[in-house]
Amino acid sequence: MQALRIVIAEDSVLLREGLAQILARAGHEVVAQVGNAPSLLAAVRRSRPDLVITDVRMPPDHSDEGLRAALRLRAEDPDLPIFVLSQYVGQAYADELLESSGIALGYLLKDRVTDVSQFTAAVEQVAAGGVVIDPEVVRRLLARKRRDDPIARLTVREMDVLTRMAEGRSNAAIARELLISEVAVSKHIGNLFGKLGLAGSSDDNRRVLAVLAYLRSPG
Amino acid sequence: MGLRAWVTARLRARRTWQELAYALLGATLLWPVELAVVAGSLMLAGATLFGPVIVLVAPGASVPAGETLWRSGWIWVTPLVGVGVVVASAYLVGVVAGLRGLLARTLMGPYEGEQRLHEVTSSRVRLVERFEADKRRIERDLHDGAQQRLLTLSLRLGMARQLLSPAEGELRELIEGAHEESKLVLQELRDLVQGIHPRVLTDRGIAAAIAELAGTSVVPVKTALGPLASGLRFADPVESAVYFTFSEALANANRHSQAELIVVEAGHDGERLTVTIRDDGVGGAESAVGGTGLQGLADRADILGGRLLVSSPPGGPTELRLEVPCRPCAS
Repeated sequence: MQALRIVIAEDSVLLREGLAQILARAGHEVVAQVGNAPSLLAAVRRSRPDLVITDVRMPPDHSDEGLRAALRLRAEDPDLPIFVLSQYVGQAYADELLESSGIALGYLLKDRVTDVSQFTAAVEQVAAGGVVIDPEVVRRLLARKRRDDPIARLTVREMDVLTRMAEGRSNAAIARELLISEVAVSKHIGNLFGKLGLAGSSDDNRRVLAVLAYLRSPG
Repeated sequence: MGLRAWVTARLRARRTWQELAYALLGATLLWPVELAVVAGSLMLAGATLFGPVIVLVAPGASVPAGETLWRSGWIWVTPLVGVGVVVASAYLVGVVAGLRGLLARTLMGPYEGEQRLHEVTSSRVRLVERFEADKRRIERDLHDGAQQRLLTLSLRLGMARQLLSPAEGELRELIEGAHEESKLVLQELRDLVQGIHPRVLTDRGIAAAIAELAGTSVVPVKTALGPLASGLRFADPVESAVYFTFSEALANANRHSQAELIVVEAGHDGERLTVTIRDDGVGGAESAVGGTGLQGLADRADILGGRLLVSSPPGGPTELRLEVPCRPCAS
């Protein structure tokens, strides 16, 4: 992975510096650190980064300025990879982000950054155009779908694979985590796509989007 | 207050004239009517109940046709008629007294006590508003303070963990343990803060907050939020009351009811917001009203001038209806 130029927006200075530190250690360059939404917009327009990491809630209103800024940056440049960190799982926030466009998008609970190597891997995935959605969001989407037969027919193993796929993990990573072979992972994916009535794809990103679109569809 | 000021004040008060009118009515028109009703009832009842005795003691004079009745034997029927008269006159006197009370209430207007009651209610409303503001402040303080610091701590532990080589057995174990522990505390703190005041309620309003909660329910939730879905916003205490009522109903339905579907509906008629939460479970939640959950919500609704109605007969279904008089803020 080549070094990424990253802008971080987070109002807690301690956390911001911690993030900068782990990203620097992973070989990336933090070109700007800002603490509010207007500075984020300015910093991105100035330094044209490869990726933006932003907190949802920031001064001055401590509402969802970070998310608004991210959506605005996305409207200006639909290809700009955006990674949104949130203190809470907000289905509404996730929906708004996913509706903005389905590529190069990350939405994780802030807690996940403390699993340092997984977080940096997720950041790199998003920079490469991938989609990483917090397992908690996926879990809730699954719960929402529970009364539908296809989801109910998934096995526990297939569910495990599905949530990890939504987190943007590769087959190899899923195999490592679940202590099964990569072939087994492919088989699970094939099965669950069959059960959900989705067309399979070898493209990681596209298949994540297919699953998310399916989960978010009403009914 | 001087005598003159007192007299002026009394003369100006509507209450004075109302009381005077009531007294005049009582002294002129009303008392003969009431006396006639009471005395007439008593006399008629006495005459019929004790008919045979009266005829026996004072034949001829006191009871007209007494002689005839006595001879034909019908005189023994009059006590029976008397019982009927007693019952009927009891009702009659009751009606007259009720009318007199109605007149008094109409003329005298609301009693001073009601004024006090209004003041008490508005101070309770202020308390609730203050309570809501405090909760939001606490949520924000925790978010800006403890949560960020804990997150930074957890992040540092995560970084330390990454640096350790597998060779450092015991140290590695300790740091891994501390890291995992810090993640659990973060999770607990997050749940706690959400319970104090849910962020999404402030940011996105009641419809989004309900959708968010519904997303956590195992029992499927169907929502028909009408005006709320189109972004109508209400004062904080109202939105909070709706949120926490739904939250409690959802928790109960998921925990005890064995329901297969929860339906939440909302409507606003311009004056009053109504939210109904229904499940098709086994019911029996009424007995839980004595518990703190529903009771607290009922109190909250009461303070806002509204009410919480619970219907949950054994065997179900359970229905909670929250009604709060309120007008929407700008959406």
